[in-house]
Amino acid sequence: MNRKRIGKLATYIALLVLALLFTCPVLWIIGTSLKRPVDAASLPPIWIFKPQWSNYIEAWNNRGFARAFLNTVFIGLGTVIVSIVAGVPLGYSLGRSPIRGKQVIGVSILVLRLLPEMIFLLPLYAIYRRTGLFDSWTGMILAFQILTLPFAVWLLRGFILQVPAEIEDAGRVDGCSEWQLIWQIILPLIVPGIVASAMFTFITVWGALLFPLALGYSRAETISVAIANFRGFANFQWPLMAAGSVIATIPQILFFGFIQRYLVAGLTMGSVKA
Amino acid sequence: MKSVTQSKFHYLSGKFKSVRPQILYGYIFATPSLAIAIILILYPLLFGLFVSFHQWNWSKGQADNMVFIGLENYIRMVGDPYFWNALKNTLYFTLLALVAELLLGLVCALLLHRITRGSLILRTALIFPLIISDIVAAVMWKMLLDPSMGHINYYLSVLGLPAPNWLTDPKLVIPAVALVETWWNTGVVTLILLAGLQSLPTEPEEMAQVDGASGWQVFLHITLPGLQPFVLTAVIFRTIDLLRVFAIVWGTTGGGPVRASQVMQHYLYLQGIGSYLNIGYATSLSVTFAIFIGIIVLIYIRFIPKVEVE
Repeated sequence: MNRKRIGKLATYIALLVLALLFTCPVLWIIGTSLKRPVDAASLPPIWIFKPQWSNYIEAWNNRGFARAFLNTVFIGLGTVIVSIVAGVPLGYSLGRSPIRGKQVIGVSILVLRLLPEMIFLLPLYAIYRRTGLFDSWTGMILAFQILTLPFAVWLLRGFILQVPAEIEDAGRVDGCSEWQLIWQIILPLIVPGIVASAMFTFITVWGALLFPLALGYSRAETISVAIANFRGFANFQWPLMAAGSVIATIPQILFFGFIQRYLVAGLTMGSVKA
Repeated sequence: MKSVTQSKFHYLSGKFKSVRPQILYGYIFATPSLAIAIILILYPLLFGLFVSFHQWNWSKGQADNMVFIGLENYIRMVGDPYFWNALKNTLYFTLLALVAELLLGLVCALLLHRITRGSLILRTALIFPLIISDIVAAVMWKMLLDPSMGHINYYLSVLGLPAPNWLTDPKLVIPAVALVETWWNTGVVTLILLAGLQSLPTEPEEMAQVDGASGWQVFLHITLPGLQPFVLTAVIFRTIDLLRVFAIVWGTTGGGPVRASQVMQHYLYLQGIGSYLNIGYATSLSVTFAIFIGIIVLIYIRFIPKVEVE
C-alpha cells in the first residue's frame, strides 16, 4: 500500500515537471508581452511588474499587422465555406456509398499528406502569376483547399457514418427527396462534425506559413507572415513581438476546448482504423 | 418506432426503386469536391511534373518560353551541393526530432495513463504547445535561445552549465531546432500513444502482475507489443511531417548560419520563388523530394509488420 502511494506521488511529480517544461515558454511569452522593454531585457528576470497592456495596442498598430490579421480572418472564413460546402456532400456519399472506397480514400489522403507543400506551390505560383490570382484572397482560398478539403471530407464522413441509415430510409418512405434528406435530416445531425471541420480548417489557414509566403505578397499577407516579419526586430522590441504572438494565437485558444476531442483523428488522418 | 417498421417494409419492397437514385446522387454530391481536387490538386501536380522536364528560369527572362530539356534538371541535381546539403540537414533534423518525440511522448503517455485525478488538466498542459502555430513557436524560441538576452542561457549559467550560441553555431543549430520541434510536437505522439494505451485490454497486465511479473517486465512484454501499431502510426505520421519541415527551422535560423540549417522545403522555396525563380529546376527538386518521402513511407509499410495504414 505504502509503496503504491510513493509510486503514485512520483508519477504526479514527474507529470508536474513535464507540464512545467511544456507550458513555461508559453507563460514566458505572455509575461514578456506585458513588460516594458527595459524589464523584458533584464536578467535575472523580473517577476513583479506593472502590466503594460499598451504593448498589445502597439503590436496591433504595427505596420501591416492589423491588415494581415483581418486578411487571415476573411481568407480563413472563405476557405471554411468552400471546404464545408464541397466537403459535406462528398463526405455524405462516401459515408453512404455502396461502393466501399474506404481504403482508396485512406491511401489517397496519406499520399496527399506526404507530398511536400512546395510540389503544389511551385506550379501554382507559375499559374497564379499568369492569371492574376497571385496575392489575392480568391487565390489563397482556392489554394488552401489542397490542405483543408481532404481533411474536412474525412472528418465529415466519420460523422455521417454514425448517423443510422434507418433514419434516412424513414425519410425516404415519407417522400423526402435526396436533397431534402441531406438538408433536413442529415445536416442537423452532423452539426458537431461541421463545427469541428470548420474550426480545423480555419486554424489550418491561420497557422499556415508556406502557402501565403509563396502565393501572397501584401494584399493576401496573412498573420503568420506578419509574425515571421517580426524576426527582423531588435531586442528592445521583444514585448511587441510577444504581444503580436499572443494575438496570433487567439483562434486556437478559442477553439481548443472543442476540437481537442478530434485531435487524434486529425493527427492520424488517412490511417484507416476506425 | 413507427418509422423503423416502415423502413424495414420499405427495404423489402422498394429495394430496386431506391438504390438507383442514391447512386446517381452519390455522384452528384461528389462533383464539387472532385472538381476542386482535379483543378487544384491533380492539375498542379501534373503541370509541375511537366515543368520539371523543362528549362524555365523566370529570372533569366524565360517566363514566356519553356524549353524542353528532358532529364537535364534531374541530372543537374546530382551535382548540386546545396541539394545534398538540404537533404542531409532535413534527414539529420528528422532523425533527432523523431527519436526525441517518440521517447518523450511515450513517457508522457505512460505517465498520463497511470493517473485519474487531474488527468484532464495535466494532459492539456502536456499537449499545450500544439495549439501554437509553428511560426509563433519559432519566433518565441528565437527569443528564448538568444545568446545575450535569452532566458535559456541565463538559467543554464545560473546552474553553472555552458551557455552555447544555439542558433549561430553550425554544429549546434540542427540539434537546437530539433529541440524546439520536440517541444512543439511531442503532444502528437503523446495523444496517439495515450489513445493506444486506453484501447489495450487490462486483463493481461493484471494477470502478469498476479503471476509476480515486475513492472518493467509487464511493460516490455505486454504493454509495448500491444502498443506497437500505435507506435508505428506515430512514426509514419511524424516522419512525414518532420521531413516536410519549414517554419520551425526557417523561423528560428533562416537556414543559417550559412546554410547550416537549410532544410529541403526552404531550398525548394528559395530556388523556385524566394530568390532564383528557377521554376523548372525547383519543380524537378520537389518531385524528387516527394518520391524520396514516398519511398521512406513505403519502406515503413513494407518492412515493418502490422502497420495500420491499409
